[in-house]
Amino acid sequence: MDEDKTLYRQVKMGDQEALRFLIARYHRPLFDFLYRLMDDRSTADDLTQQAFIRLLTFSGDAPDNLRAWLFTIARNLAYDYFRSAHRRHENSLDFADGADLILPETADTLEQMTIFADDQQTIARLLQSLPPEQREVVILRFYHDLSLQAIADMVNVPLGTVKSRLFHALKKLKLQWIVSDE
Amino acid sequence: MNNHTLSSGLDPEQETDLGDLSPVEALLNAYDTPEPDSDRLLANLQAVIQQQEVLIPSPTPRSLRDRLRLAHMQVALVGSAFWWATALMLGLGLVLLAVSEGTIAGLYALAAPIFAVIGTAYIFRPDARSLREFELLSAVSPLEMLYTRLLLILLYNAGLAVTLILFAWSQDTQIVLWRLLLIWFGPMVGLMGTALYSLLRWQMLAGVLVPMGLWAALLFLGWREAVLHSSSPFISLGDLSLVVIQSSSFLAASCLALVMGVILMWQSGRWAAK
Repeated sequence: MDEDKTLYRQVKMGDQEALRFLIARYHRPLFDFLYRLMDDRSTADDLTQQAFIRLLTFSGDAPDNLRAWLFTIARNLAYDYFRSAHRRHENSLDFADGADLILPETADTLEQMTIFADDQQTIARLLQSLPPEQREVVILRFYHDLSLQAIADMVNVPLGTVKSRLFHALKKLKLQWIVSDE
Repeated sequence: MNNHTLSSGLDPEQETDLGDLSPVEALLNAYDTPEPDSDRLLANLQAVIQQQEVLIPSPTPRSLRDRLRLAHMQVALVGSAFWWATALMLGLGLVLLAVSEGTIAGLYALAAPIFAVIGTAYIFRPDARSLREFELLSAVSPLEMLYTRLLLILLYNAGLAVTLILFAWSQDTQIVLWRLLLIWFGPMVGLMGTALYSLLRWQMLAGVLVPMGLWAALLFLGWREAVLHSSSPFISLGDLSLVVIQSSSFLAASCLALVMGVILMWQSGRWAAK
């Protein structure tokens, strides 16, 4: 935590090396979180950049937990985006349509590529079928290894609510997986 | 990916209900993300840093016109409901003081800081956090905004109270106006400064307990002073107010509270700017 505070102060003082280090440390996790939450590369790129800009232009004290704070900013940006998308009469849960597919280096046959692409689309569709509040809990829990209490602190809800959201999300995912597997 | 199963941390009944989640975990594991373009992000952020002198609050002092404009924006931001609610609370206190025998008005006076704490907690509720984040990004420093708001609230309360005090004075010429004003204004500024300083210095709990403790102590001392000058331990709030207004020790304490309040507000600013 103290290391992050020092890093943050160095970045605020205009240290380019510190900025490089900050990006190396937090760019990927933030992007991954937003990508899986929005399922849209350009939006995830844009919101990740906005989160970093907020960090640079923030005029308060250095946050105690930089990682949690960055994730909270990213989450707030995503929710602002959902709300504005909703206002534009777009359905924020239909972002899965334009899923970017990342083919693994090991997939060298057309059949392997097709299977992999199907998996990617399936999980993207399954995740996007969850309400954003449930989706973010699954993403933060599974991909970012956050404890349920840490998630509760981040999203500002009681621990019981996080448990309930995770429970219902997992139940839906399992049910939908069974249906899609059949 | 993660070091534990997806359902760990859930209640045992929930875990049992979910059963085997390994197929879901396998599926989630298969969801890869593309490589983000860190070089582009770095270049964009460097461009932002170059422009940052525009984004960082300007240290140059503001003109009076700018300060008035800032105050006007803050008034617009809070909305009329806040000012009506404040006036209503003050009005309610006065009505209770006028009609009750003293007990209800005394309880109201004791509970007044609790209403203030509830109001503050409502304003800074989690839903309003994005507003705070937005404010931190604005060109006006948070401290400047805080002082502007404090001053607005102080002036508003002072305006209301002075009007009422003038009315009370016109009805009862025994009251010495300047003493009444000072005895009212000193504790208010003192409490405001104490609340601000303890909140910034020692966080929320102290920010609530210290000013509330002081408020209770003030009421107790007022009652004690009144009892010392009365033959009966049971004294009405009206008599209590009269004794407090006439007391020289209270006048001195109010002056001290006024000075301390101003010093504490100034110190709070210095502390927050560190």
